[in-house]
Amino acid sequence: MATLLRFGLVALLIVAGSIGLATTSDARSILAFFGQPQSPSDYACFTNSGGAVFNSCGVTKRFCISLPYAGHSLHTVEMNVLAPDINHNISCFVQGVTRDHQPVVTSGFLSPSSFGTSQTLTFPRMNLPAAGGLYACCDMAPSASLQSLNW
Amino acid sequence: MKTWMRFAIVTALIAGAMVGIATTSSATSFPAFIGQPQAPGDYTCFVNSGGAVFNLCGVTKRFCAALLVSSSDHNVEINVLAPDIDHNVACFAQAVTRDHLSAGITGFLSPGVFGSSQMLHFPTLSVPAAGGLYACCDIAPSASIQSFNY
Repeated sequence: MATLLRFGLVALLIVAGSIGLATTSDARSILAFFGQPQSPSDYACFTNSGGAVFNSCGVTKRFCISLPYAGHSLHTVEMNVLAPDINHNISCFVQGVTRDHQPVVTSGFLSPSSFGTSQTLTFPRMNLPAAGGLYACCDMAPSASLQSLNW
Repeated sequence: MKTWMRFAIVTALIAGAMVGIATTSSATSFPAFIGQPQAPGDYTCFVNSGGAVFNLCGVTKRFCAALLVSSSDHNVEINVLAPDIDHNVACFAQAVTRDHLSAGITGFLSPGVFGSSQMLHFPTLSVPAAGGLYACCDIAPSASIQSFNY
């Protein structure tokens, strides 16, 4: 009977472990075109090319994306960006909020350290509340682009 | 020993069923209104009616939607309504890598029947890890796209 109990305990741990794995392996990704300009008057500045979004205006503009997630969970947001050169850069941040719009966690701004090729910005892992919200914004210089988000 | 085996089999079946439930609930669907016009100047052309999007302008316009993904293989289905053969809809879907390289693209599909909602079934697209999926439709005046399932 003691052996059976031990086996049952191990089986339960395995099942619990597999459920935990399902929760943490639930990475999602979306193309940048899912988002919108921060300012309603900037729609004409952002051009979609195969899901990537370019700033086609002459000054830096902010573009934001809401990122769906399910339940109280941990997420590491990654964004792929392309800044053509140091003078046409891109700078992004991520924020988690409660369902009633209170900030829970905010990352600092990250920018690519190499130019001319796609770079992945990896933000610190965030502990997000159940029924809350997650979003990301990028300040994009002219000709810079945001390609995809993974979290 | 027999009790052991019976217990192990039952446990395995329960775990298998749980995994099965988790796996089969992975299809995602959205009303068309999750998308946006391809050209920023075309926002006023598209009207939302219960999640379906109609082109109210006088010429064909392109409407695109980024589709949230959390797994690899997807068969995109788009429900569309073309009122007649002169007011049609043509759609395609594409998978891309996280850094904006094509990972597969479908051809264009249009409905073969007019006046009622038709489902366009696209071939399987494999989305690379952390990559993206989107679909675009060229929508004639008065035609509409209704929903995405993938």
